[in-house]
Amino acid sequence: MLYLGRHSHRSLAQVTLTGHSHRWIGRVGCKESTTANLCAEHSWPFLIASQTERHPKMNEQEFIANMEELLETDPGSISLATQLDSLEQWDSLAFVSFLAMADSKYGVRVTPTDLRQCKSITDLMKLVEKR
Amino acid sequence: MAIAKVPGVRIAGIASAVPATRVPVTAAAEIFGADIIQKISQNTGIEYRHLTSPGLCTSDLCFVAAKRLLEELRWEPASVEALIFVTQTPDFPHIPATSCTLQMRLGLSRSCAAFDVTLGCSGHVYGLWLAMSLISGSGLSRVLVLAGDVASVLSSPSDRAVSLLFGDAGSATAVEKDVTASPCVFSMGTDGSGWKNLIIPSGMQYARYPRDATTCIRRQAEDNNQRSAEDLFMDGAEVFAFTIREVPPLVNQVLNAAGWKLEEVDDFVFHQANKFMLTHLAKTMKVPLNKVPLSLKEYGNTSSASIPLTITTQLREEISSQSLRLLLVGFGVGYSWGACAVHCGPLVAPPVILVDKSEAWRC
Repeated sequence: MLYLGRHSHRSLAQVTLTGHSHRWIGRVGCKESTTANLCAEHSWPFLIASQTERHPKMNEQEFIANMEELLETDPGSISLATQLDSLEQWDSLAFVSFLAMADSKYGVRVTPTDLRQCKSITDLMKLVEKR
Repeated sequence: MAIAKVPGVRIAGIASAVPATRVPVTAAAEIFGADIIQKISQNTGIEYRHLTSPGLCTSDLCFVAAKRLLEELRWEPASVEALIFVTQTPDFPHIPATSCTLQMRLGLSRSCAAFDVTLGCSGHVYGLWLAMSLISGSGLSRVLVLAGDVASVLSSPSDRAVSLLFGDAGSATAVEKDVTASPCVFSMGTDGSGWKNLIIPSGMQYARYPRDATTCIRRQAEDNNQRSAEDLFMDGAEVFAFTIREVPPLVNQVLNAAGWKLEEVDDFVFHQANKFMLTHLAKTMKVPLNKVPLSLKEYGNTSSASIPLTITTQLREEISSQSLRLLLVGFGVGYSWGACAVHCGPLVAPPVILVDKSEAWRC
């Protein structure tokens, strides 16, 4: 998705908006403008390419539903705050199932080492949204 | 590894043999509880295993398979120029190589080159690659690859990460010179950083963790399973992560090198690690499940015999009568992996043989 925006002169190599990173890909507008004479008074319209499509905001409800399916627990039985060591279904098989789910549903390769650090459902969610 | 293309060789026949003793996984209910067994069985896809008895070795299973194969192929034993025995459960802890005793037992010629290869899950593909390369590259005509393990014996009975996985089996694959054969395409690889994720740490006096009076003592481990340093240890999560990392690119690489499209493969014969893993792999690679034959339900994870055992039990009719494009994919302990794109069949494939413990080599 392309955005048309304005930014006062700073490096446009990396512009961060709303917590997602964007990349400057070009300039539009004033023919007197050059990258060399950008300054605070002249904010240039510019085009940026958004990388947000590749990383949609994590759908928390969906993640919880995926976890409930993985753990074979009833809907509504877990929340983001649930501690993993309180879940008897969080055994070595669930562990491996999570690696599989992260791979197939979220396209993320989680390492067992990272997975072992997780204490709660939120921690698990952060693992798959971190890219 | 870069791609290896081996022309002028074909697989002439495959045979497999398992111990006659057939045990359901539910037999372990007293140790683990019926619910846990059910859960494990559902995940692994394993319901039965054929288990060996003391003194009935991998070599006995492979011997029976090889003998049957030589008969059905009508190969004079003296015509076999090399014997490769792939196993991690040889007859003797250290020496001599079991392949030498198999040369004698099978009545092979004294000018036969016999040697052992110590690999597990990837072993059959490595054995094939070696055999084919010996023929194509150094002018031999006939090589036997015997591959198998009695891995069921290696784990602690109270370690539920491994004790219900392994079944015992042996196999024989006859490889022969054939100038009309399409090249077989191989890709192999290794990642030794996974060395401790599938391991028997101790048991020998001379080795990395020397055996002593304590190494055989079983203790409770952090995963609540009981094992000693002389029992097989597996970190299932690490091995799973390794598999999903390495196997799809491996398959792509071999297919590209062979010039095959995914849809052109008739069957993907994976090492039979567990059903959950293979199903996940198939899904990731967009391989239809009806092209992934499984021998897990009846035989469990049979280590280096799992690929030939799966071919002889699941593909026997087809492979006896027609040519199939097979992708053989072995991966695991080491970490070691190998894949082979091969036009296979029609070939000689007798039905799987049940071996009674009385057939053990008397020596």
